Amino acid sequence: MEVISTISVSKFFNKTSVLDNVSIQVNEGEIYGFLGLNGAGKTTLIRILLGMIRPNEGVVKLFGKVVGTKFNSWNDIGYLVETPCAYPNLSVNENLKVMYELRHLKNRLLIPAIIDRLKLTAYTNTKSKNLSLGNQQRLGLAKALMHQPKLLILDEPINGLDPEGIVEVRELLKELVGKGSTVFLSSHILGEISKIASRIAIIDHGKLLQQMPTEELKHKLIKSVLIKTNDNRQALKHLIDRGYQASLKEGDEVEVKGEKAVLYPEHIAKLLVDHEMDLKQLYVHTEDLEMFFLRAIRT
Amino acid sequence: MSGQLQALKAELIKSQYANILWITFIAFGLAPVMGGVFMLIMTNPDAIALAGPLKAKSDVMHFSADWKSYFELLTQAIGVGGVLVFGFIASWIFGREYSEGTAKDLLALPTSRTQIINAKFFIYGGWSFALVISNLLLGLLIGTLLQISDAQSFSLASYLFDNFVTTVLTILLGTPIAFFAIWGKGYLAPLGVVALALVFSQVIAAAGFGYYFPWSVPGLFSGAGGIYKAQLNSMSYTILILTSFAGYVATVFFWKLADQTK
Repeated sequence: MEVISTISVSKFFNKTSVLDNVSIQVNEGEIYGFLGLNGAGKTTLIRILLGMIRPNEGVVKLFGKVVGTKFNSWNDIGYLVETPCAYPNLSVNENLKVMYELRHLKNRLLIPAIIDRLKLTAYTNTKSKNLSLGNQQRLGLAKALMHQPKLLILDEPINGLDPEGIVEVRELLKELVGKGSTVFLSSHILGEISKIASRIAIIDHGKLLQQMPTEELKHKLIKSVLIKTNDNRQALKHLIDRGYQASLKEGDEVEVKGEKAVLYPEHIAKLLVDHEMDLKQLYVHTEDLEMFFLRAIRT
Repeated sequence: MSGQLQALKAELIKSQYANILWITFIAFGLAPVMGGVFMLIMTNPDAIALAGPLKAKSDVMHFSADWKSYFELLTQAIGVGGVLVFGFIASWIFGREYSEGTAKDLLALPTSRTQIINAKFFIYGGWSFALVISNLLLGLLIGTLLQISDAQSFSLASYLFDNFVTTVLTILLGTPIAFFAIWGKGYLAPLGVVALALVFSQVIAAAGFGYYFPWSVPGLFSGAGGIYKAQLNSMSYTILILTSFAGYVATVFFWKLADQTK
């Protein structure tokens, strides 16, 4: 079942295109990572999903129902958009009470349960203006999760969290998905998203560039062999003569690309030694996720 | 109206610890206190001699040391000061969601956006009425302590009617302020409108056309404009009610339909 579906969604602010023909589908039980630099259009799409902004073109459906003024399944959705904010003069408990009322909840135990789950018990009666950035983020997540939604839409949820908090959120999201929830997660950190998302999409300047299962990501990362010798120019010549895709790299290295090099680096070693060259370094380098992300949005 | 009660409860929780709550009671409470000072001076010949300018002012206002003058002063404080203080409350109730960054948390909920706006208007009206009642009680206390004399022509029922109508007229003018808070996404725009409305209400009333300007009408009705009260006619009240209605409709529709990017 498609929990989120956008069909050719476009949005303009004045004459500036913020989203251009974006179509995504998120299935039940998925963690869908939505990646993009700041200003790429992530938050605009999230606000469109939540009915806060109307698209100029296209249709948005949640749980198969068109999002509009008559959409009434908001209690199946929890969300955190941009920086988490709370009423500064209200305590953690009171801020959650406000959300409890507005969501028409009937079980008072939900509030202490979510406070405990997000490790905010020590701050139950602390005014939100006195919370650290990380705890404000936890409070934002508590508001999004308190009613145990079927769909969670989170915009940069790990911002401000320390490493322990990041791991906790990751575990929490996995647990929710294990119980049947669906998560739509935006971030500009591919490394973090790739750890939890089952599928990722990359957006840049309002255009959806790629969508793929996270498993496929590792096949898309460029691998190469990085070599250092006593004479890199001579090594480069020998490699090119043998048909390798080799080039000199900054940092006094020769980079050799292609399956032939990556699968059999020992052949390169043998080639260079046969030419009586001193081999100082040879290793298979895998492009990191940040490089992949930047390459994806620059090509 | 499933959800309206919950929206109201949420608004009550949000407002109860606001510092501005007590600030507005203190600010609005200055009227009976100042009135009490006037009374004290007017009932004390030694004080009158020492407070020449205040005596002059009280003469201009046809102010005498009795319950009638005192209660009229309280009503006039609503018609003029209420425009400022009630406008301030509306600015805060509607503008805070943007200033505190919480507006986005109110837009995708089972409680409808209209119910949230209605709850805010309800809190605004209740808060404003509470200020008026608090001033009446404070006035009664101060008047009793000062042993203000009864005026023969004074009718409490007539006074309470004028007080109530002035309050309602002033409260009705909060809806355009609410719209400017949502349109301007914060406090600044509505506070600017309140300041302008107050200035224009004085200038236009002084020019003799206040009966056509909504923000002058409560002041004129309260008697703050003296004889100009007689100029008020059905058109004056119609313009005020239409302004209020337009403000309400604009607030609801803007909140429901405009792109919410903050």
